[in-house]
Amino acid sequence: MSNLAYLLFAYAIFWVLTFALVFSIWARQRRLEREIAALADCLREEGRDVHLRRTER
Amino acid sequence: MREDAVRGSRRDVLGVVLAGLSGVAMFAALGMVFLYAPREATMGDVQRIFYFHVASAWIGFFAFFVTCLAGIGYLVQGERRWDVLALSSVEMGLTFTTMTLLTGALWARPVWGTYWTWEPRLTISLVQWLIYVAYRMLRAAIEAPERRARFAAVYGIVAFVTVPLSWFAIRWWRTIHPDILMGGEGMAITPRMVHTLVVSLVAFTLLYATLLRLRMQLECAVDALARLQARVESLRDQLTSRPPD
Repeated sequence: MSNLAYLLFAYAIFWVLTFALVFSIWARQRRLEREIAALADCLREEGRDVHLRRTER
Repeated sequence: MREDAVRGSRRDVLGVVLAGLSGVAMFAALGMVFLYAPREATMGDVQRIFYFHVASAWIGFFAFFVTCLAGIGYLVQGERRWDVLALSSVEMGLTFTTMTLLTGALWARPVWGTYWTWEPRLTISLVQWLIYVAYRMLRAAIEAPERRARFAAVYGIVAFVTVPLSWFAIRWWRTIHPDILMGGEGMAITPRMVHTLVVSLVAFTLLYATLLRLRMQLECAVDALARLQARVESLRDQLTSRPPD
């Protein structure tokens, strides 16, 4: 491998690791958003159930 | 409510400004590394690895220093925000130390003739990396949040001893690792090289601040979701246990 190849490989490693870190934060953020959406759906359904129970009474 | 919205938008502006600044600084540093800094006489172009290698090592040290301070903060005040800061900073420190080890190995191959040698600075850097990987494993192994935060705080403080050890390794023991501050054998530093190094250090510090902020926001969001889930569970329990009117 030439000197230039080592240099380019080193800078490629820097960018790959930086983007991997950003991607991992982004992926966790997306998972969190999905959990929040699931929780909101769950709350909406529970609210509807409670409302139905009250109107039945 | 309106105040919260204003504060939120201000926070976003700060995030965008920080990300923009770190992006500009990174491109400036890259430009200087390849176009402004002179070609080193002995090592040739491979010496240009040095600018990002030193900058990532600096951020590794700084991140672990922040973890140590946050650990002290947690033990004194017992507030979760210190634990969030420590955890986020360790993640940044580990990433940047990984960069340091890998870019160092790529620099060493053409200069020393080997990717790795068990000399003091390299060995301590690898041990340091393993110690902070163990920090993450320790956190994953403890379920109780307060106990986990307390143990991690103590561990983060004790683990910080590897930073001065690594810093002074090239001064205390016989080593082949170059010492850029004290000069000596290795390479001759010109003013242009110093400018490039300083810009790289600033760029990496801004990048660290940007990524740390993002990681802390993520951890705060995880906490908020957990609180919300607990609240929903308790409301559900109240509703199911309530006797009919």
